Amino acid sequence: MKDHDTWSDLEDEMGRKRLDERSADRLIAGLTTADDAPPGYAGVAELLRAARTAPPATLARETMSVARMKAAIAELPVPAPVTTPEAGPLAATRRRTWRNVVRSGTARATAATAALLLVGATGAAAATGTLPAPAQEATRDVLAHLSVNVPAPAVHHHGSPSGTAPPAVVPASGPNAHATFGLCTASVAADGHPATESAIPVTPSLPCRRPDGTIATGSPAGQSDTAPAQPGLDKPSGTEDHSSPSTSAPSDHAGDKTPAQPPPASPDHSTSTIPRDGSGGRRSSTETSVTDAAPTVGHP
Amino acid sequence: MSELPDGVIDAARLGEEWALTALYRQLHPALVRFLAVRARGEEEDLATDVWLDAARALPGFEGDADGFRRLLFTIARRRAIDHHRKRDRRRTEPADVEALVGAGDQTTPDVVVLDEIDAEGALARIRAVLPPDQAEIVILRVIVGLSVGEVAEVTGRRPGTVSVIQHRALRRLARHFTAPVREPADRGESR
Repeated sequence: MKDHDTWSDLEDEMGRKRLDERSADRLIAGLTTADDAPPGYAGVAELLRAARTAPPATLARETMSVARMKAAIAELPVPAPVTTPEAGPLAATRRRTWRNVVRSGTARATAATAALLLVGATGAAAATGTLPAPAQEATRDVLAHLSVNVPAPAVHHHGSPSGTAPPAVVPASGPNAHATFGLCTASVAADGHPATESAIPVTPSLPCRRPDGTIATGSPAGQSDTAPAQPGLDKPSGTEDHSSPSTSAPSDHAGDKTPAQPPPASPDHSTSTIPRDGSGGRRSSTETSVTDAAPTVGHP
Repeated sequence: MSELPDGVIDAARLGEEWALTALYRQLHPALVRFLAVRARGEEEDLATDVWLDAARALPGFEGDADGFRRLLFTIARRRAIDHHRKRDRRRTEPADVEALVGAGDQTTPDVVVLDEIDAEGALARIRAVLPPDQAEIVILRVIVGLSVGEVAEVTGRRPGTVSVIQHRALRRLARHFTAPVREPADRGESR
């Protein structure tokens, strides 16, 4: 009896082993019912069908688990870029990395436009000669290879490059002609005293043009002048000849001047240099330059 | 996974709550049943840890919803194996009652007749009859819905090996369970 059962079981086993790949896949996928299952596999078909059915929801920990997941993601550093082809619109807007921006056509067009504008502006500036001298020289060299001629960089009259050469004579025309001439002569008179150079905004080494059109240099060292020679010009600097008519203000200002000599060791320089001659508190440029400069440099 | 909305993985990667909830509701039931193969009674605790690990892996994850499903069950399998090893080191081990019930019937394979059975009952019988390696492959294929290739990826086996294990599992199940013999009228009523 036992042997018979054993042989019967073996036959059953051998019958059940004949399960081809396709039938197995259909069983696993739930496409096979108990009625059309292979021999001996009806129970398996029922079992797998039952296992496939959705169980009651086991979402008791959903809120807690989702909160923990959210916190875990928030604790992580910046999300790495991803390349999911099925990205949704939300991710497409948030995941616009720099690499994507560079790859976009808009960025390329913007970069090309900016480059063209830069090249055009540089070329225009080079053509007009308004670039700084090193840049102008470099641009000129580059454009020379392209058979494009641009002006050479301008050279400063002191040897340093500059955009435009300064005038050879300080102009003295217009409504402020007298004031300009006064400033110019004051500067010339103070030449040789370093502290005065910063106090007077006029280039001191240029000859001054009087309002009547003549030119006066008035160098304290007694340099020659294009104007008719004056006796006081040959006197050394630091004397009262600084206020002589030939080197300072015209005649209408000459009478208001105080002597250009600095006060000897006066503790209050401001009170000593304010004119009190009824000129309304106005000081000529010449006297301003001299009196302001003398205490600073300790002029003898 | 077709029930998931588009862009759910990208939103979940950014920590969007709606996306995490959608993933959880879609995958958690199958995850719990899969974990019950090796960690019966502790599958919910393990599932919580698996979800946390998956969330930490999300920012660096590249792929779609199917890829995330494979990632989730790969993490789950490793967690379950680690849990099983820790449990093996214990002096005492809580026994599965259902396994003990079927232990005495090993010599009479065709005595179990399937009549009306629910999902949990069917899963309990699969776990009781099949060894863990075969049970997890059957569950990954039947309940999770992975293909042979995906199961091979999750379990770290070759696809051919997965097919062989799957065949053995079906034969073993067929030896233990048979369908009830019913009259045609009864079958029509039952369906």
